[in-house]
Amino acid sequence: MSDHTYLGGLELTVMLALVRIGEGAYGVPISREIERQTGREVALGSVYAALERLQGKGLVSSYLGEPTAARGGKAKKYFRATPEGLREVRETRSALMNLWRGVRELQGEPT
Amino acid sequence: MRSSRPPVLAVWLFQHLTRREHREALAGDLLEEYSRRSDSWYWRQVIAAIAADFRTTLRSRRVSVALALVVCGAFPWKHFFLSEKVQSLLRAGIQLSWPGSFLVGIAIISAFQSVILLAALCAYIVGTDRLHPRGFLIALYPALFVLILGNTAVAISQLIPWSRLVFYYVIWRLPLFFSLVISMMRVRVNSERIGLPVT
Repeated sequence: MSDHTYLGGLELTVMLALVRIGEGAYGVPISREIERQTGREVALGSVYAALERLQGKGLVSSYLGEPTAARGGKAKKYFRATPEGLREVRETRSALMNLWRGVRELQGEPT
Repeated sequence: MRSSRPPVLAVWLFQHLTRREHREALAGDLLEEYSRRSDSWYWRQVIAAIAADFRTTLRSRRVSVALALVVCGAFPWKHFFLSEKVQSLLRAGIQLSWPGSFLVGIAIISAFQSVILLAALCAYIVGTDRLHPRGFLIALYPALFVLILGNTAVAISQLIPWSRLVFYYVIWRLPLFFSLVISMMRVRVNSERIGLPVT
């Protein structure tokens, strides 16, 4: 049996938001992108917890920006997907598509 | 008009009950978003951040969680609560006028649990070789705060008709469990900050 683990629900959502944003992705735009695309608000703390897990797996890297006055002198922490992270997203998509394919109950567009 | 600063208590809880890893960046994000949101949004975010961090802690700090479970599970709460001394104290407290009657019960339980918390924390610090007075106090204050807050919530939750089993074996043990895990987490974080050996 393979020891490969696919991305969990929130991890996959955060990864996809991260990839969609590209450069300059940090907590606020990631959270807004998830809300815009899924219609659900995700707490910033949950986004960071997912990013930390992804970083621990080597799927995401981060770097600190400059502190700004609008943020009370706190620096932004920017995130980007690593090549391993992108590969993981593709593999998760492929696995989910395989599970989807041929299931009659799941055919058709969501209402 | 709403204040330009987020609620002080929420900020304090965020600073003391979240881990260092992303705290600064997350605090900045919360402040940035707060300018177009409400106080209740800020509170929700802080509670969610604390809960998310706590879940991460439960995953990564298995020794602390196991120790907290053993301490909370091994103590005979029901016998303690039904003992003659505690019952006579509680009876004396109940005769006070409100809110004294409500607060005495919380104070008795919290005081007793604080002794257990102190003993367990000392054992953890000595056992993991992380003896540092400042670190001890940094760990103790938020843990005591959580303990008292938790016991207040437990006292209010008695309005819910819990089964006695659930109440004595789960609900009543939660404040001490959370405060133990938080205190051990804070000891560890402080050890890393001041360069004590981390096992």
